[in-house]
Amino acid sequence: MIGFGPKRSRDSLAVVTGAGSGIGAAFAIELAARGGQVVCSDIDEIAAQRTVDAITDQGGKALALLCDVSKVDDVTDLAKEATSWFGATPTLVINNAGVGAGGTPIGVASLDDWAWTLGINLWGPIYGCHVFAPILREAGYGGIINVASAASFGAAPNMAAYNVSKAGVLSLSETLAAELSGTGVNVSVLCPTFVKTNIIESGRISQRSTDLADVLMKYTGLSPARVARTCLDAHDRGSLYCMPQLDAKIGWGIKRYAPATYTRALGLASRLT
Amino acid sequence: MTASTTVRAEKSPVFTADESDVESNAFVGLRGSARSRIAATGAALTLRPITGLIQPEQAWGLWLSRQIVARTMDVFGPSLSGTQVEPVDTLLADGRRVVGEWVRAKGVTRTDAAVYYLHGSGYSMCSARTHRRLTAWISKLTGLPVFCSDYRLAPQHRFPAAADDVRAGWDWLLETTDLPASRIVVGGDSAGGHLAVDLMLQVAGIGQRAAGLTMFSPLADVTFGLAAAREQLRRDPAISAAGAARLVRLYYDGIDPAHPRLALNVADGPALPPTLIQAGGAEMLAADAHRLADDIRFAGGSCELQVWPDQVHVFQALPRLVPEATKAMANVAEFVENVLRANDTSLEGRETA
Repeated sequence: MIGFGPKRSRDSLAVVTGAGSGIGAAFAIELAARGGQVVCSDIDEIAAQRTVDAITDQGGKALALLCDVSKVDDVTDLAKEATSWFGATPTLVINNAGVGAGGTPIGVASLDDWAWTLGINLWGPIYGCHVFAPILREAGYGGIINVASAASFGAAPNMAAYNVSKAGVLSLSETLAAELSGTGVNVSVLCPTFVKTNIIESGRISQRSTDLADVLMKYTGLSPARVARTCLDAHDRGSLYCMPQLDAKIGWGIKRYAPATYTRALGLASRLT
Repeated sequence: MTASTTVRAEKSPVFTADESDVESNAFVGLRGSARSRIAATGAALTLRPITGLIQPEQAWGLWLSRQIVARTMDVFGPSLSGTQVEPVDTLLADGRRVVGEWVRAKGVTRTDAAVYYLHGSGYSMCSARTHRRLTAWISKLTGLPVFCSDYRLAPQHRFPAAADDVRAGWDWLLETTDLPASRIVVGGDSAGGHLAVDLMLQVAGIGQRAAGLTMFSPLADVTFGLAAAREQLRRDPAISAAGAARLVRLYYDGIDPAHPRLALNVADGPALPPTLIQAGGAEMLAADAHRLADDIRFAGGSCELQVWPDQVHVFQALPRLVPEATKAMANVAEFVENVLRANDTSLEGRETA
């Protein structure tokens, strides 16, 4: 707890889900630049290979694997194949794969969208932790980073499924951090706001909300590379929460100190727009 | 953007070559030299902001782009000392015009084979003159005469002017040197690589096959879709994918980029001659190099892909800036020697008999 521990992001044996694009790709590339060997898994194998090419072209080591994180068998296979490729157990797992969903209020959003969003955004990290936490605990060293979102505490209207899934990831990470304390395994949870990624195009979001999110992302978005660097540094310091942007920090503060007021203000703001 | 790249990706099903990539990187080393990393960072801090402001559709923009590239290649290019240049401007019997130059380094007298070089251009810049230091170096290292085509450039001359000129140059070369296609090695950088692949596919139809094909940072996707996807992962130090696409669009403006001579169908086409592709790890066209290598192998050709970590676009032309250029060119010389020797077995048999 005191002093400088080993930097887990250096020379890691890392598994990154959703590494084909966005924050996942940035994590993979940054970990490779920090000397790590990286398994890049994605549901889009071509995208995963693109990330692997970008890493190997610069002299790094990486492997592309197909993995649908909403299927537990895929995640189990991912752990097996990664371990056999590393020739050792992984030391860093980043549960990043996620999709965007929103634009409609509760009751209007289809249950199919709910199931789809929770299947990937919530069950993905659950499977990831279920499969990898015992491996890391056994090894007695390593780290797990779960990518949540500022939505996990922001609870903005018209994106219930996304908020619920990310709130679940936040709670999952907090629980896991407590369970793994003293084992040598660090847990961090990343809560960004807008990052310049393709989550809007690839998600199920209504057109009006897509346009708004595009504008917000363009002008307030942080680059995925910055987010990944900040998060890995925070993880190395042993931080549980990583909020790379000021707006996330402010929102987090208000939500904790005045939760009811926060929600009322949010409701008012959404009625006015 | 996402959708279109996915469709293109599905067209060629090969994405398995990670072992060979690792191999080629083991071959070239894990990191670029300090000088090349400084050069790439320097370019990202100085060149990229400038190229971002240049409008290639404007006369001043194109002029400035041409000046920047020409000056850079002159300052950091290899020595021209002792090089003999023989300009060519002639008409073929069927009326097609061939413009270019023979480049022979000091002491080069071989006539048993030749290199046909297609300079890079973004289809609208550069010339045999800007690339003379590079072609002279190739001549010096291989001991072969190099014919560099001065194909017509956009925006004055649009698709397929450049490709037709390259073909005319090939026909003239075979006629005037009396060499069979199997004694000619074709080289090209950037858009010249695109032209070289098009030429190989064209002449395969009439049964001609070059001894080998060597390309530096070849362009495969003229819409820069592959490059744009790579740019999301790592920014090119010299130019944005959108900026480069605007430049190349001057060439095919008004023509569907899916035209078979623009979106070259390498994967389904005839097998290309033995190929060496070199690209830089820091540049966005590394993605094109991967695609081209995968497609060539899928079509049954043999292709060695070397991606040099931390190198910029066509770093081989800048040996006074990056030390890797010399090492990479040594590989090219070895490749040229090997493909010519492989084709030479019949000749050797006759000589000893």
